[in-house]
Amino acid sequence: MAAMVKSTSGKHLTEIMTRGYMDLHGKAADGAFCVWIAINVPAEIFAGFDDMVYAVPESHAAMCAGKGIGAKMCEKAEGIGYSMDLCSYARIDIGNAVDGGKDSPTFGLPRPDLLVSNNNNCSLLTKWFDVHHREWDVPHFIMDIPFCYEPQKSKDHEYIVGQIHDLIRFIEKLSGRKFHADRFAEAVHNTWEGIRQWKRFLACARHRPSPITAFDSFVHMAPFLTQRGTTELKIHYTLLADEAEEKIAANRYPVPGERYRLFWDNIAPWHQLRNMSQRLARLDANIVGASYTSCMGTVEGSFDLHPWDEKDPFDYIGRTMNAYMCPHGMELRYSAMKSVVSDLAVDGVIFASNRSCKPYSITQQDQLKRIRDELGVPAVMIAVDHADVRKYNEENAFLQIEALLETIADKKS
Amino acid sequence: MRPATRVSALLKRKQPKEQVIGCFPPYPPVELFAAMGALPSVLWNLRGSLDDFTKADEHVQNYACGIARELVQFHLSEAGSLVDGIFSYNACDTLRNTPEIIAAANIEAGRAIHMLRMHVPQVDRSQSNPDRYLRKEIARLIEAVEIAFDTRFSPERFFQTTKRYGQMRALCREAESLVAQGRLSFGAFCGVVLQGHLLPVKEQIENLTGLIATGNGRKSGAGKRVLVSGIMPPPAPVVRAMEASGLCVAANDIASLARSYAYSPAATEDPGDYYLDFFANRFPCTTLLYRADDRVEAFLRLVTDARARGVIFSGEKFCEHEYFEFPYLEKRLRALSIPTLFLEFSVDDAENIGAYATRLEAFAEMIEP
Repeated sequence: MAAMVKSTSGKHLTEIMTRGYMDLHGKAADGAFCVWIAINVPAEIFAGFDDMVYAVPESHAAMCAGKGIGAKMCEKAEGIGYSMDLCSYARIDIGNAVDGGKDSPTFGLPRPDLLVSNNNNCSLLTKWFDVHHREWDVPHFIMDIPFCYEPQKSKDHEYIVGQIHDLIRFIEKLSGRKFHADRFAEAVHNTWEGIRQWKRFLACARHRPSPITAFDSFVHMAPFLTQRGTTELKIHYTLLADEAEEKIAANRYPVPGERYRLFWDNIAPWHQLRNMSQRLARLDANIVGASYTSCMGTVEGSFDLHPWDEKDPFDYIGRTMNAYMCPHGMELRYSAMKSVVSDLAVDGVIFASNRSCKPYSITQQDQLKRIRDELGVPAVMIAVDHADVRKYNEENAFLQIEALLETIADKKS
Repeated sequence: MRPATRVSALLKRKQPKEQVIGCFPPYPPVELFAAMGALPSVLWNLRGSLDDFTKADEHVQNYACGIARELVQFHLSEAGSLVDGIFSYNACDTLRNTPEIIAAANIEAGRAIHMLRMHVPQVDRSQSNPDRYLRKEIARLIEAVEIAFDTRFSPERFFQTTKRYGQMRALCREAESLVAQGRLSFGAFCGVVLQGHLLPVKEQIENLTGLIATGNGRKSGAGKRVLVSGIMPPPAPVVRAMEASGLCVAANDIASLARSYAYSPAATEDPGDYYLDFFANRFPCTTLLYRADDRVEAFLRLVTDARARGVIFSGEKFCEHEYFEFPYLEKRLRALSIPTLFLEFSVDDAENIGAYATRLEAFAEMIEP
């Protein structure tokens, strides 16, 4: 097999992620105030303060899983009593804390001065952060984001915006640093610019064959988590989108003989990115999109970019707090899925039933039936765990996927 | 009493015009529903009352907790059709998705069930003030119940109802102290309290009064004092094995038992005041995220006050809220030289009673009298 050649955006990703983690460690070592956050926490807030850095344990855990050391780190947490049934991100992070990041590709994360979690993606995140809160006696701020069964209500929006202001006051008091609203606004603007480019990148999947795969989007979402609010976000996603458009112009496709256009529902199987993408490509199948990465920059019920008039950053941040898939219900998820199936001309959907993510997975059986029965789109469910390879069986998964491809082929013929 | 009988009790109670509101998770505003003329039934201990999980398995993966699978199975079975409304609030990631699954399946089956819900604020009161939001949520819920069941809220009736619930919870605490003295079995106590979750408060009071009279008529018994902690008590056969091993439940930290009755606000005509007080002062539960800072100390105080010589954790498999805490609680208990036993239960584990009994006997031998 020919050696994999890294694309320009791939090289840039490595560069900014490496620099990001080095900066994080360096600044924290020099006394910067360090905050650990759940991925849905509006990180742009920290740009409003002098000398403040943030780390994202979920993103770090995904990186560990991607580098093949997820299971090893999970075992460390299990060794001190944490159940194998708990989320593998949490187990990796707790395992990482056990020995100060000995096996981590980033040498772990610097010890936090503050933990900020929320309960919208999953409420277990607050329980996970409580583990560190108790063990290290580090303050823990919990943002309470009401789950959306219907589009976000104004009462909930008001409640969320109120908490963003509470968080800012809390940090000011704890860190002794003053918040600068103009810098926060600038950071939100930077994120917004980055997201617009991200959506341009994802839109390239409409082309047949697609110049991108969902695996590209999984890998490249990392800066959105760890470098929110920076100009780097726009630079990177512009490069990524340009590259995808150039591929179309040059007729270069990851799955040149693309016969099956699939859609993925759930978190990425981090330990399988290369294996799965290569094996699918050999079957002329391409996962052209994923709910996991399509929801960035949107609001509940749609994968379209949520517009912002750039007036009130608090209003915008509050409004997009239910953006990811988990903070909203089955009807809204179906609405977004239905639209994307048509938009990307999807032939089949893979529902990845993820033992480590119940909020993402619990409604999938009903979703699968609706996609299959109401939209007439073949769908299949495979068992995965996003970061613990011990709970994944490749042959079983591909048995299901190959059956899906046969169904699609039969339907087409 | 076996759980099957408890659910049967719900079915028998169903009167032609009675509105039953099935509620989950374990801390719904039952006083409000009762005051508005409905029968609130807290559906939190359905284990053993269901023949199979065939309907649930069509909708929910088997790595969801037994509670969620039981709720779906119950609501989609014949028993569920006797519920006129379903109330839910935010607690865990699995249960927040369950109401929509049940609602969709009911619509498909042509059953109209009112879906009621509220968001219980989970912010830490030292960081954010949730009072205004919670008052609005209660007001919205009252309005939703009025519309759904064509009823009107009465402050006076709410006052009377909250008074009765306060009385009921005081009786629960009194009965618990008789269990700690060895004058009542923990099994009998669980039976009455858990059955009460399905009954009108008046009957709960009558049953508890009868139970207490029985306990008062008995002499104190000696047993090795343990505290039992979990989201649900162990299944009845395991509780029997526990008591047969010579263990006496000196206190419990169980969501459907002490965490539910440990605190009751003073009676009032204002539901906003009542639930502000309740949510702020409720015994810290793993599912109440905003009580995390009080949780560990409250738990350890309970162990100390009860003079418990050991702790039994009753783990509900896949309950992340509980499982994230067990290792830390065990660590703190180790520092106090208090031994622990961890038991894990899923939907059908009570059938394999032998292994549990052996472990309980071994644990009882370790415990100082």
